[in-house]
Amino acid sequence: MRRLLPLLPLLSACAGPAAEDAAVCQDLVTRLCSQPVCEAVTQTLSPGEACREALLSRTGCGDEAFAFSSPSRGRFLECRVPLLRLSDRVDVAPRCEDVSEAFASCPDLVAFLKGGAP
Amino acid sequence: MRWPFAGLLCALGCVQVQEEVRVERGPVLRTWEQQVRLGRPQLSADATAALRDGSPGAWLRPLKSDTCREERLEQHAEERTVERSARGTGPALALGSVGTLAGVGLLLGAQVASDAPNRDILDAEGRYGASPRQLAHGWGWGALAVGVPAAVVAWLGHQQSGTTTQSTVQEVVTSAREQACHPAQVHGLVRVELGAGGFERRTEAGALWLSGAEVAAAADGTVLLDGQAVPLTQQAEDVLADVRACQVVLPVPSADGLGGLSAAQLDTRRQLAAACARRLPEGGAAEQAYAGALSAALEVGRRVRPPDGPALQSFEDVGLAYAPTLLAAEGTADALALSRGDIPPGQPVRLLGQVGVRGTVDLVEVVRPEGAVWVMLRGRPPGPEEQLVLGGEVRRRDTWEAVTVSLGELQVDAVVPPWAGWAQPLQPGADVELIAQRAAAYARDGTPVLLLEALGARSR
Repeated sequence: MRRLLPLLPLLSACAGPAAEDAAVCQDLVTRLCSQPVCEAVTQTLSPGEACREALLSRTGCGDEAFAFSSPSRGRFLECRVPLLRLSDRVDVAPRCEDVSEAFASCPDLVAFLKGGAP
Repeated sequence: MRWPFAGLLCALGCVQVQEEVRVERGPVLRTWEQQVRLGRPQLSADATAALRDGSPGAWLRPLKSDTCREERLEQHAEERTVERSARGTGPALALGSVGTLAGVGLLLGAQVASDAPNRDILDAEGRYGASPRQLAHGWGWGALAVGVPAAVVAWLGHQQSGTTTQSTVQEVVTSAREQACHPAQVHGLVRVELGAGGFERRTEAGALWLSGAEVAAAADGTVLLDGQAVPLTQQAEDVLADVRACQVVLPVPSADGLGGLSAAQLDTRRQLAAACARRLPEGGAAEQAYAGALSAALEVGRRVRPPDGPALQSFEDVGLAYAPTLLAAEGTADALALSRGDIPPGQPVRLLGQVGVRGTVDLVEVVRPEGAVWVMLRGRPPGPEEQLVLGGEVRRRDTWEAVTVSLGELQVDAVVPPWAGWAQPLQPGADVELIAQRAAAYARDGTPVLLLEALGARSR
């Protein structure tokens, strides 16, 4: 394993440090509330006009001290994967079918976004 | 320690060195010959001509010799130039220098670049995008990873490229031939095998004496030494051929004997004597004797009196004496009659034509009670059988000229007796004028043929 250490700088050059839990959660909310908001978001989560603020408020992600408990950070990241198919840039909105897929495969994420326990 | 070594081996493998060898031959320094003994002993026989008891013969010497190769060698200077070039050195140098410089530049630039992560990106692992310093590090190390090996390849290629010249001295065999060498006499039982028989004798002091008759017989035979075939050397073949000529012309006949020979026979013997003279001094004396006799015969030939006829001194005398009334030339009716054999005996005819083939025929004069006749022979002397058949006595034998004369498309044969009255033989192709008469008529392949006897002839 120590022989691969020289390659570490190359591998680590592709990604920066891990983001805080609050930043990860806010990123998901931002993607879901990108305009135009997908119908799946509207029907499932009913966020209203102020989509981002409503979801941040329900989940508590607006607080910079937020930390994942349930779902865990790993589970949350797993459910977030379909939303990154177009790009992992934060300013690129996901496709609505990817949003529907994420909701279908992660009922615990939906429950979390509704503000209740999964 | 194993990684750098493996990397060096890999780099060496990447360096494709092309080698071009150019050999330039310099001036010839010296030439010499040498003899290489190959073994393979072989038998041969040498011969020398000699006289024994006044008769020509030859000493035959069987020899045992080795086979040698005569080599001619040449020594010359030679420059061997080897040019090595690595074809990938240029591109590798470009890639190596650019990659290394870019890598070093990026790593140095990374020191002053921002270390803040790219917050515009948040990947599936929940990590931000790489900071500019991280990117500079990554690309810098990557450029170095490509540039440094390429630079090493370029350096190795440069190290292995170059031109070396080596001067040497070369020896080359320019020609070689095998021949017999180191001949030594051998002794034993020599047998000359001839068709049905042969003869054999033991060598005396390494040589064997062959009489003239035996030399003539050996021409068609095989020489064996203790049962093993002994080929004659080319020089021995030539000697034996000349000894056979000596046997014909030696000893030289007396003046009367020479006088009994025709001009053609004397000429033939003179030529044989010349061949004999190459081996024996007696041959030279014989050549002179035959040449003198030939000259005298040609001179006498003009004045000799034919057996039955007027004494004639010239072609004009012949014309006056025989007064031919027939003229056979190309296109004449007499020529056509001549070709059919339609000329009565004793009727002289004048011929104007061209000599075709020229040769000689041997004839004998046979004296019978009813008169003398000339009989043409087929290349051998008349014996008792002919005398019996012809019913007469063979008085003399002579060689006559024989020619074919072309009269346009027609052709007639003529024999010319030695007393016909000219000194120079007719040459093939020459235009000739003949005064002739019918000598014989016979059938050849069913066609009547007229043989003319020339009474006089001259070139036109």
